[in-house]
Amino acid sequence: MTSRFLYLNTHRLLAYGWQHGSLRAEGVFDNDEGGLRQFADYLRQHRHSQFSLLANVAEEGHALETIPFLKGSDRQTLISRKMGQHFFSTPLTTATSLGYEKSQRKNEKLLLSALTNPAHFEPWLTRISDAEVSLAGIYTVAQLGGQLLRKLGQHCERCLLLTVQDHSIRETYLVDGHPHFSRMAPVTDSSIAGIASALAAESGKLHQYLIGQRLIGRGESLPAFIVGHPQTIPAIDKACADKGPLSFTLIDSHLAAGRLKLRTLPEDNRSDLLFLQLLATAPPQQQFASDTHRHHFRLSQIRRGLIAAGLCALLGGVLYAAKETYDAGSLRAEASALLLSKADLDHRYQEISATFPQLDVDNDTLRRVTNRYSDLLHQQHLPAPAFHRVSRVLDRMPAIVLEGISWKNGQDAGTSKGATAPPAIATNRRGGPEITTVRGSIRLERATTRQILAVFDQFVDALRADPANSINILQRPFDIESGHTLRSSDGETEVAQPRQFAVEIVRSNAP
Amino acid sequence: MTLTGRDIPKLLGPLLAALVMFVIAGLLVWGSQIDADKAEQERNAATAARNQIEQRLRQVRTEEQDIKERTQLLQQLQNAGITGEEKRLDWMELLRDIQRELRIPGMSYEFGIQTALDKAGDASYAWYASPLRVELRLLHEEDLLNFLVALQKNAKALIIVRHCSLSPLPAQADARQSLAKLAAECEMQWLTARQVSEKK
Repeated sequence: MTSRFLYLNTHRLLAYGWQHGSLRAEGVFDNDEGGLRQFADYLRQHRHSQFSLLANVAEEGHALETIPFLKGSDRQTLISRKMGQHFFSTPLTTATSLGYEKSQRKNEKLLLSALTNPAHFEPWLTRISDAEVSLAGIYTVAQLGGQLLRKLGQHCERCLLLTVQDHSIRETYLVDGHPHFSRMAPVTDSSIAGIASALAAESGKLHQYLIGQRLIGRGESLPAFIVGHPQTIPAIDKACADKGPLSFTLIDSHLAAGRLKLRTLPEDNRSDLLFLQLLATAPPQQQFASDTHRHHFRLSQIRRGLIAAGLCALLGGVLYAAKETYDAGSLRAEASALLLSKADLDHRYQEISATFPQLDVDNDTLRRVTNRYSDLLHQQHLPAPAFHRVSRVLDRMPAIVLEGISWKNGQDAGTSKGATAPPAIATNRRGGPEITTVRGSIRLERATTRQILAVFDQFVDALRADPANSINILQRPFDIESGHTLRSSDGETEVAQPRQFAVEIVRSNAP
Repeated sequence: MTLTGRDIPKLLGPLLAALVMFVIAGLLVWGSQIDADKAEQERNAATAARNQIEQRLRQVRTEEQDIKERTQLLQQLQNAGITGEEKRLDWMELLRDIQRELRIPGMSYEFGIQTALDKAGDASYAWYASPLRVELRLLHEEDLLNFLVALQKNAKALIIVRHCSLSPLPAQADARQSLAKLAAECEMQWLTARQVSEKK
């Protein structure tokens, strides 16, 4: 948005375009119907620009006021009331806080300023409002005086500032940079000597006036700053030799323009451009336009705020997206490196695998199948060793006749019903015990029961001689244990019959 | 400042522009986040794949000899006919051949239904067992032992003998059966291994 400045004096309004320290005159509009119409046309042409109005009019008032310590709307209401008391019927007012009194009540000191002839502004402000252009504020030359001196490095507690504006001299009494009094004096002689003498005379008159108003003390030393064109400076210097309490400091307007970074140098004694440059670069916080006058400025601020918020969000989004994209790129690069590494490892794996005999099973399955095969192989037994062991014992005992032999291997094997519990033997997955059941009879001619039992016991002892065997007696030739019923029979028949027995041999297959 | 209805159209353009910019920013953030998440998933998948192959490689290096030996063993099982579908026709022929070779006077047998040896899991390869009950009439007990040895040696399966009983035969009137002196009865498992995906 381009900044444009309007300079309003008592007779006309001048329009300037500002760009990078250069002020370009864009129009001069007289305060008549024609001028106002041209101004309206000018505003329509530049309706998207932001305007600031600098006024140099005679009707300007300043008043000092003290109000109680208040804040918020109460303070604003009180200030409005004070404004009404001092400057009746003008909406063009502003209040500047000068700080708080150091008393217990902390009263606030205020400088109330107003442009007391609103009718002079009304036609121009109406055109601005009709054109719906953005008016940032209304300022006065006196308001910018303190800032001008500060920018030029001239610090003073109390001083006078005299500048030539249009065909008049703007005289301002500044206290701590704030204008406590300002007035305009016409210049009748526009020659260099005439202006110089007018400046000298007006400074004296202003000093006397301030003493009369008791704004300064009689005999109080007061610095006076005069801004002039370089060609006029010698004449002013000559006319304004220090007299009495006033000590003059002359300010070369071209040097001041350099300090303010104004590229368009003043062509004569007028300081309009210096103040416009100040307004462009450092506008004061206080201004005279009411909220109604600044309505479109506020709208433009809202519009700019919305666009700025959108741009901030967009910028944030772009930055975040850039970071995420960068992170994603890094992750993808990492993934690519990992995949390359994987491919390399895969290749090496294939190389090693190629040395293996090719099968259609993976290593885990291969391991499982072969492990199970080993388990099963451990369960693979034949009855031959068991039969041979029994055979060797029987060879030594001709009285025993074998009637049957049974062999069991692995999980299915178990002790027969009624058998004495065998010692704990592992029956794990690698194979259970091997059980051989021997059924036979003892055939001894005319042998007594005791002799038959002795042969049986001898047979069992022979089997037990092998420590790997665990012997369970399933059936004895005679039931003489306390747990069984013992009955008599015919003595001869009993001895003549072969006595049958059954023995179980349990043998661990565990490796 | 008080906004009026006339001000709304003046703010509409910037408002829409701001909204569009917010939406674009949101889309950029959303899209970039999705892209970053996807890239992270790709990286994680690549890491997992690399770790897996690294582990396999480490394993294959340390167990290279073991795998070679196991592979050779599996090949031996394949060559012996222990792997793959069971070959009952071959088994029947083998039983008859051994009977003939050992001059066993009598033999009757019965193969049961094949079942999985272990509980069903997610294994792709499993062992299966077919139970065999065989009854023999023998001249001598040594014939039973030779019969079993011959079976284990020549069968296209891994044979585990579970039970055998031997007892003398009572005197027979039939001349041909009277040659046999002993009766034997055996139960055994014929084991084969095959892929689970093959015929159940």
